[in-house]
Amino acid sequence: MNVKSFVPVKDDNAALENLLNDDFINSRPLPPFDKVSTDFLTAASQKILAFKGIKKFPELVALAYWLRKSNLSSIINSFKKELPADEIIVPRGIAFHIAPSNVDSIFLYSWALSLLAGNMNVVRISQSAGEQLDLLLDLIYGLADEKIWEPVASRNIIITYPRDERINRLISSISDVRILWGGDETVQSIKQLPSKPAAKDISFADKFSYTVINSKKYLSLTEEDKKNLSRQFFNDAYWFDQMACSSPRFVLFCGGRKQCESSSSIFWNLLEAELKVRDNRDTIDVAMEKLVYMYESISKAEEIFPHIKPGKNKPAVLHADKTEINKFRQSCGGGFFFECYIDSLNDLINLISRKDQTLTYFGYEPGELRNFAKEVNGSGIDRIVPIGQALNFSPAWDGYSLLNELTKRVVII
Amino acid sequence: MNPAEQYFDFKQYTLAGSEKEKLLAKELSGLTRFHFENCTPYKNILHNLKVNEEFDFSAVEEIPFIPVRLFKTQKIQSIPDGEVLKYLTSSGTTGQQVARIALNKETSLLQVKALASIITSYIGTKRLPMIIIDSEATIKNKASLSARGAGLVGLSNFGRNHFFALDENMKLKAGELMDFLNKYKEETLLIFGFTFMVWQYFYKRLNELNLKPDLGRAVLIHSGGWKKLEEQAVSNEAFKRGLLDNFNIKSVYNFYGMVEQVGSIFMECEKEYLHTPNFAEIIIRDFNTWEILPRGETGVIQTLSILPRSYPGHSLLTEDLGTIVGKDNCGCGRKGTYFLVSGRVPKAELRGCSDTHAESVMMKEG
Repeated sequence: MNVKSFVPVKDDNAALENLLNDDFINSRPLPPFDKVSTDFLTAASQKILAFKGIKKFPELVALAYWLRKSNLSSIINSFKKELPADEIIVPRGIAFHIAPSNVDSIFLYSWALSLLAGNMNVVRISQSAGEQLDLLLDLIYGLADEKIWEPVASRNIIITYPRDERINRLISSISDVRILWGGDETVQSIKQLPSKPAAKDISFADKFSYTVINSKKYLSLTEEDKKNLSRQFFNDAYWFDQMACSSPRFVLFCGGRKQCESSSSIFWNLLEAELKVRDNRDTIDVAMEKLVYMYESISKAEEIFPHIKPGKNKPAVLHADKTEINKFRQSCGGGFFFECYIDSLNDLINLISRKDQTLTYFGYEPGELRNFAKEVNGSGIDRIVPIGQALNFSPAWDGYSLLNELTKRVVII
Repeated sequence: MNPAEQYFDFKQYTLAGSEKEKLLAKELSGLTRFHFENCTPYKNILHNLKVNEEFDFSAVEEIPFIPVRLFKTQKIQSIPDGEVLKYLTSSGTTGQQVARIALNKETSLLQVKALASIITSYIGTKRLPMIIIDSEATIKNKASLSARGAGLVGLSNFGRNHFFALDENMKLKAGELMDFLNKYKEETLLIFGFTFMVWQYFYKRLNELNLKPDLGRAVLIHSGGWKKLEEQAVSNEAFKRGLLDNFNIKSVYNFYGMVEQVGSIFMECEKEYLHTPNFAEIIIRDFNTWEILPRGETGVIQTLSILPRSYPGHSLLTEDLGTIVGKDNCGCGRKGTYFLVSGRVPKAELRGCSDTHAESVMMKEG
């Protein structure tokens, strides 16, 4: 069974059996939070930031910041703090990662956490590597090739191959934990393959995310603060072409009708201004996609008005009634939004579904949000974060506390 | 509703200027109203776009369009299922959704009439012995025809003693072809096929076999797009030259058309421009604003046709790119808008968390 390998060796046609040889399978995992793991990730961070032209890839800049030593230390420390005195943590063993297609850098977060946990990793990346992923793989390969990182390089395999159940089956059979990014279908298809009896799956399946804005509080912001919020929202929505699980697709304005109308009008105008400043324009294929999607959407309901029709430097925004908006959960991405007006956070509870991941907000107090989350009681929503932080990866993701999931506890009394 | 009939009283390619504009605007306004009243998704679209529901558009440019892809994602028809004569389907590749176009008797008849008025203006009204560069299997199921099948059935009306030159495996039946040519050696022949198939299975195969029949008496009509031939670096010019040099075929006409507007085809003229017939029009739009582009600028093609009576396909935004060259003054003498098609809008590749494995399916589409 042949695969294209990036780490530990670069080889367009590598035999998987050679990569997954006894030496690999029988290697001793590194201890959790070993210095070589953190140093490796820190070095990766520096390499990314040192890359000329990195400004073009804000998603990678964000990744590099996340991989900085100070951030990793704070993640590790807050995890360690929670450990009871009579428990120590050890790695699970071998982790099999199925990376998402095309969201170039997201898998790196879960890989980094697994690396920190001390696991050995086999990462299957997407076949259709984009510019960012190519760049990233080059950087990682360059690092892995350096002698000092040999302990990392010999315990990590990054490969790609076309859909092939035999390969997935083989890797699954030696895995202690599987980290599955992908559409529901992909996740299900891998889950059906046997892994080790005590192995566990961490699934990141299809997710949906949205934004809620407290209209009254929004209207009381200064012009500058409103502009700043649009800037933050731009990052949430336009990175990863609005196709990340946590990219907001609905924008809900909450409050009295009049206030919602004014907020909506100001909010979208400022987003449009932000798009103009950045000269963010659609390529013809994306423009076509958005136009078709608008027509599909407006054909499905009697009242779903295009608030802003797709066009150059413009977000596409459709206005739906709160009773109808859930019809429009499919998304074409690229800056396509549905907005609606709700009276209170209680209205929002009725819209929530199991698949909902991130609620980005403006204008709510932590207490209100806590009460709201308790009220929702697990029927959806795994994260509630301020606008601007939708894509900030945290070790608690999709309801998992990842470092917990990626390690084992040994009790010593 | 049969004012459409009047279009066939005019000699093809003679309607011009404000006369054509007025007739089309009136007819297309009526069709917009009809489909609005009879097709819910279409009604929703126009309602949500706040289109003036008087439907008295004074110019063709004002007629609202819908993207042609909608026929792939939902059922859009303006007649009850019981009145459907047949469905036409687009030739979707594996894994892609397929368009389904519902035809009733009226639309179907208009399509036949329309096509006849165009084709006979090129080859005359006499039926010619016809070679079809395809396999007979393509038209076996007449109740649900593929785009290719619909094209074959439509064009085959202009020929007689049809000879399907390919077997089910797309292999040229060379021996039978030579017999056919021998049998009709005194007569003008009509050859029809899809552009790629004509090149791949006819032109190339005959070359391989070292056969060079003299087809100087034949008219070749072909359609279906240049994408596959562009991959082989074969241009329209090279296509024509190859057929002339090897088989002496002097009359080669390409046409641009789609399953969503069957019958309303845009034939190439002797000057190598595509022409709008009396009952159709095209508009070019800017993808940045979706506004109309002036003559000479390249953008997304919108096609308008008075034929679709059973589904709201009278004004469609295609996913093809083109340029209007001129109006009513082509050197070939035909009136109407003439234009060029330059390719397709590429498929969007938006990134995303999901569908880790979807790409392997895409790869197989070839």
